[in-house]
Amino acid sequence: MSDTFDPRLEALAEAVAFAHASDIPGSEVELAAKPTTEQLALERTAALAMVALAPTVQMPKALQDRLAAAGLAFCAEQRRRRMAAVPPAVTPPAVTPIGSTAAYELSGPRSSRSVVGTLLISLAAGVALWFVLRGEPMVPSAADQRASLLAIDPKAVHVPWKPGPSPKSGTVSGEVVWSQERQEGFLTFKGLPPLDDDHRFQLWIVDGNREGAPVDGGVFGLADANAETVVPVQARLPIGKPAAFVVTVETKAGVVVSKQEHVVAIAGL
Amino acid sequence: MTDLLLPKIAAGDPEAVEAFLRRHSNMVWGLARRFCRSAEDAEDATQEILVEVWKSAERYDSRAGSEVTFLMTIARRRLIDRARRQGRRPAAELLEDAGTIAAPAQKDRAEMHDEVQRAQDALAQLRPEQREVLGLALGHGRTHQEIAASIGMPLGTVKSHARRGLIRLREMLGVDAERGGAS
Repeated sequence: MSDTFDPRLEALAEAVAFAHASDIPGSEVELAAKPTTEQLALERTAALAMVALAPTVQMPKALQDRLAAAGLAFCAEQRRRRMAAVPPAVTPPAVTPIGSTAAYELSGPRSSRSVVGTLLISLAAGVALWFVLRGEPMVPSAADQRASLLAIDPKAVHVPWKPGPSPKSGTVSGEVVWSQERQEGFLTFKGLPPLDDDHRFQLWIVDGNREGAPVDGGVFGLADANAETVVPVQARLPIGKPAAFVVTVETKAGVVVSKQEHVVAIAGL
Repeated sequence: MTDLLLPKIAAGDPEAVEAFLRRHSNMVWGLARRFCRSAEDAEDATQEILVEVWKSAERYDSRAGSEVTFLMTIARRRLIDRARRQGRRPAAELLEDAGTIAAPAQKDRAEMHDEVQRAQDALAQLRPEQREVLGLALGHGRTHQEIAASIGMPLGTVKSHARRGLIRLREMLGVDAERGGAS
């Protein structure tokens, strides 16, 4: 029991209980920079008491989203570190340059193409030929490109969008489709906020294998934020291990590194 | 006992991070609101605490205590550091009614470790004045002077209740000096 007076222990207990007020006049005891086991035990007791005393308060939605984004970034970094510690067992896949049209290849052998994919590509080629014969420009829509990608690569991942922490964030729905093998992807959106003429959306890809800022995935605008729209990913660099796709609002020309002041959509793998 | 999330978080598992946030983030937010001078500061503190817990997840040892105790040990240190850095003191409008701390808030016990439940039981067994002073100091981040002023108790008595109460709590909980918990 604590009936025995131990000045040293009592002083330590007081310092722990009022550690948050150690800069206030009246605090005679400073905690040691390198805590003793005795101090650690009292600190753990104080932590347990804090849990028992802590109120559970619903946090704001914006903070929830901010923490979710921080969690995704942490996981990406953690995986990158772990993978960096292990030498790669296989050679990374060849990288296909990404662009709204360059990504759409109508010919060229690929061992992984399925029969269905080949048929779809043949059909697309036929449609293209029909356009050429009619003298109209052959520009497949992003939705068509997305459908072709899904047929070609059944392993392409689908990741749903969640609204970001920005107050500008709308009620976004839709998904990211990303083919790691082909390094191609498409974003489907509905419900992003409308933007004025001076601003655009910019996609960022958090790469678990890459240190530093997320990879620029392209700048885009939406004619109608309420209509479902498909946008091709235009990654500026090869993506080793996609961990998250993040959409921010930036100035019209886009930025090299985002301050992430207005994150309006997040899709985490 | 609930599933351990920190080892999965250390491996970069996003689902574990999400589950950890669901389980604990509102508690951290509740404490941060009490210790910080503004809502904005409380938001930053909440993020700082949770990110540090994730980064420290590799060091978590379940033999030394529950995940929530590990979390709260880090939370307490961060809140103390922030208070010192910023010249401390929560804004008056953020402070809650001191009367509410006399009875510890009931939590979803299914999600709480036995250790935490024992802490609640131990707190309830303290002398009322010790519980009140510790509640204001540990649960609300009040200084000894503020406590003395708010409950009309001499400063020396406030300090005495705080130190005797904490030592008594440690005895009741059997917190081992060799097993201090998160470091």
